[in-house]
Amino acid sequence: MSEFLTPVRLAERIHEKTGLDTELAKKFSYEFFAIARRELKNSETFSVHKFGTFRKIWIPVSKARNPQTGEEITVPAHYRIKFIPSPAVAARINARYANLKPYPVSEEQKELAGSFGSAVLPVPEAPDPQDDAVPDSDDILDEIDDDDGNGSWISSHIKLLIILGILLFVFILCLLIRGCSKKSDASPAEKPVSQVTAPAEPAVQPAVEPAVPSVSEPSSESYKVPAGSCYHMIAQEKLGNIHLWPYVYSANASAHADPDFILSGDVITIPAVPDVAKDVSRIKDSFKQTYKAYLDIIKAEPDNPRNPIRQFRAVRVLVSGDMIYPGFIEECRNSGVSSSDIDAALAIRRNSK
Amino acid sequence: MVVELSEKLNVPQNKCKEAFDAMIEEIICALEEGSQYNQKGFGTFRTELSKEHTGFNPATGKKMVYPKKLKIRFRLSSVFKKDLNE
Repeated sequence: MSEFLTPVRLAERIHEKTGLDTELAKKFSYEFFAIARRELKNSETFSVHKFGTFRKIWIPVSKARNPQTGEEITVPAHYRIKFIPSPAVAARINARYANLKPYPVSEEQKELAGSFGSAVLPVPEAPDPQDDAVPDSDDILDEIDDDDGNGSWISSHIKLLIILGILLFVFILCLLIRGCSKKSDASPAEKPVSQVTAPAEPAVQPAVEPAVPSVSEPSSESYKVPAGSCYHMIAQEKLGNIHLWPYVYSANASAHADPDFILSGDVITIPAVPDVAKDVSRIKDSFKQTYKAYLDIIKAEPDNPRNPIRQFRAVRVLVSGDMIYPGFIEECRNSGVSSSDIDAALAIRRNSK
Repeated sequence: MVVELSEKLNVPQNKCKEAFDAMIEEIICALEEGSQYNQKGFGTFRTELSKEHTGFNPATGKKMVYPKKLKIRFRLSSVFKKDLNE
């Protein structure tokens, strides 16, 4: 956030792009903002097409307090300038969070009370008895050490036996409690999930992975997307490798076509953690599929302002593939990937090295 | 505006339009990357992440949770501010 684009750098970039003289390019931005200043002094608004509007707002006299001294000050009436970006620009700036949409409050509360409440609560109960048991045994062992010096042999042996018995009992109790909590976990949480995903799963696997559908079926799990999450975060969390996110996407491609867009609360399938050394072809296919998905969306929505970012992300998919399998970008050269994308991906990879 | 710029700088209008578009594009790109643009005597453009907050949808009146969002903030330079409020 701290980096600055100065007028000098801007002039250099304009020079690179248009071939305009650098001195002239420097003057150019200055002159443009001089016009903006003059217009704003004389009128209420000043709009720049495809950039935004500057609006002059009159702020009347108000009272304020100095936060450091607590002293009350009167702020004189003044103008302030508000900049309202054009919708296309605002969408470009917010592209990183474009997948987040506002949602009604009541839904969120229901979610918290319903699925999460029952699933999360029993979990912290399980470690509690363990935590209690460990300090207990330590205390008792300390007592034994103290007693050994004073008491007789037999009494210490009996005490040891009793302690061992207690420890065994605590251990069995722990196991029982764990078993119970797992069962109670499974029964309320799995019911709604299985209902939702049951129709989706058979549709996903034959469509996406026709070559080896049987391997992922038994160990893939369904997962409810939390608010503000995306495939990257889910891949990092569930598969332990952020670069494997296209693999998660490819398992859900038929239900969620846009790789950048999954709603919070959606139920997606998460494939089992793949063996990067063994499942080479499947993982590589998933990267190619994700790359193609981006291109297909760009083709389907040619006017979407997000397209430059989609193009960039498509290139990033190739880079991610290369991170896992060095040489992946070169491999894609013959499989329908445009050469400009390959060059861009190679450039990113070189910089990252 | 392009006409005025081209007259002031003695640059053909088509060239001026091209440079103007390039300038706006570069500023937006810089903001997209998270850096700031500072124009002396005018102000600073920077991006700011607004937090997730609850509010009411003015059209339906329903209480909604609005997610976090990157916004452009513009801050007036002190010189321009003085000039404006004279």
